[in-house]
Amino acid sequence: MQGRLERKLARWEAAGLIEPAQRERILAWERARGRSESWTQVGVIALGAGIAGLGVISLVAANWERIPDLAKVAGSLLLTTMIGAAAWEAGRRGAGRWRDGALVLFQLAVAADIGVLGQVYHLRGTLTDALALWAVLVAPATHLLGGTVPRALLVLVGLPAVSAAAVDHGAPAELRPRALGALALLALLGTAARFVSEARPAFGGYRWAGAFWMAAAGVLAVWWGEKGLGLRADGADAAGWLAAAWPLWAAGVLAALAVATARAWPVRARLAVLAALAVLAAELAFGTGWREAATAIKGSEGVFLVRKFAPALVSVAVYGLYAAGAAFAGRRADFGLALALVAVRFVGIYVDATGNLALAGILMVTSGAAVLALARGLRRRAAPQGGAGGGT
Amino acid sequence: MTARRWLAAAALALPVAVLAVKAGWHERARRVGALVDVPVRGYDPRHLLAGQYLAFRLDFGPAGRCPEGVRGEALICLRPTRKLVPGERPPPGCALHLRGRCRYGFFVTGLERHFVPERRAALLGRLVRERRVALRLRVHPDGSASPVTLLVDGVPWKEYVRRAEPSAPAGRR
Repeated sequence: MQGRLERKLARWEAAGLIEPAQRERILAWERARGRSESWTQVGVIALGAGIAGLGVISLVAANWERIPDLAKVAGSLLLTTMIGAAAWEAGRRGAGRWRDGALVLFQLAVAADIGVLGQVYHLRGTLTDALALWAVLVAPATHLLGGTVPRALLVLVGLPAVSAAAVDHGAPAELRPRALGALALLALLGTAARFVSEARPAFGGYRWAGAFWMAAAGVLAVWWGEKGLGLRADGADAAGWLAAAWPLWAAGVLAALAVATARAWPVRARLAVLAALAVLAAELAFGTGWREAATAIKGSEGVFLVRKFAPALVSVAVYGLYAAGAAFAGRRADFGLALALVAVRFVGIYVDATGNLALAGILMVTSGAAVLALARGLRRRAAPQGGAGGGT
Repeated sequence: MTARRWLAAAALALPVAVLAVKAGWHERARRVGALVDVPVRGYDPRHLLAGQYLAFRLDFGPAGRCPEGVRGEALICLRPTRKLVPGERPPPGCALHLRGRCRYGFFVTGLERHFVPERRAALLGRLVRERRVALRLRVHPDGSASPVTLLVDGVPWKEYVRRAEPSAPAGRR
């Protein structure tokens, strides 16, 4: 956006419409305005839009049986076209993050299209074949437009799928046309793999990511309950479980130490991430006991709410605290990822609460609208109070 | 740069175009061809449901049994009389045939899996066990076939469900 404005101003200056000093003042004012729209506000807007979007998807899913087959296919392809157009426009404007985000959405939409076609026309075939087809279809756009994330997704999903499909269909012994297509794609995927391997994050980045993935693994363990990950040998013996889960605790302690000693991050960022880890640890150690005690107090009617809601709310708290830490540390990508996880978790909370996709959809659309209104309020408060803010 | 931009647009349009053509091809395939209804049987009551797919066996009667020793490519002549023929070539006089394979003594076509919504799966599974379900196919001149819908007591399953549960709200799971 800024680049377009600069080019436009340069043209105006060349045409003698504005003076160089005016050009500089306009640019300075626009830069100040851009800074005031902080990326955390943009993140909150995205969270609201994401929750509302998931709500719309839930509403569609609730009425899926009633939608005519052709409308399902046409609607799905139309949505993919719109997302593709957004990715193209973002690429044209040189907006890297938006382009990559739209491209990942495009990749997911193509996967959904393949699923819809398989469902509507009852196509036979394996998951490997479907993923191989997906990889072949999205590879050109990913190669031409994508940054690290879409390319990594293509490599991580596409490479094993195409390799397995190639083996399944007898390449290279028979060299059928499908297998040849798959082999041709391997060359493209190899190029993408090289690109990904060249993007080497600094060591500090791994420390941050390690803390996050440890938290994510812990939340998964909570999510799957006491039988999750096979960590709990005996459901009644909490002490035995704690002992059995020692690798998780060791990882947690190491992650906490890494965060506490990360002097490059502001104190409040470290505190937020440590709080996320503490909430997670408390859930792992005492969550089941708390829920059992609460169930005993509330009686059988409380069982559903306590058992279904508590893990979801804990995971939202962990991701939310992590997002806050990432915001304080100025880590945009981690902030966005954590917010996305919060949005996804909302689906589980509402569906569990209502047992009804349609009602869950309405609740999510309402929640998304509320978050968007909050973001709008924050944006207004932070907006510059008029005048040329840049100075001369 | 402009050429690369158009190339990117073409690359983004590629999946949509390919999938639209694929959808059009399948849509046409299930609108043309001879309509054939084949009863379905659940060959193992425990494994009728594979995820959201109803898994069954098409019941061609005695013609669906492969003679001992016959494996691989085979076809069933559907009209004028039902008869299993090993190989890929329909016999003279066969007006309509369906391609498939002989596996473990049974003729299979690859059509033995049908997507059903999760909340209807249990009902349809029960109806299959009660032998009230048939698969409506469009059979094409080359011996391929496209599934059209499942029939329950001779009516499409969605219509059967509508009649059976007129007041069921759509969103309930």
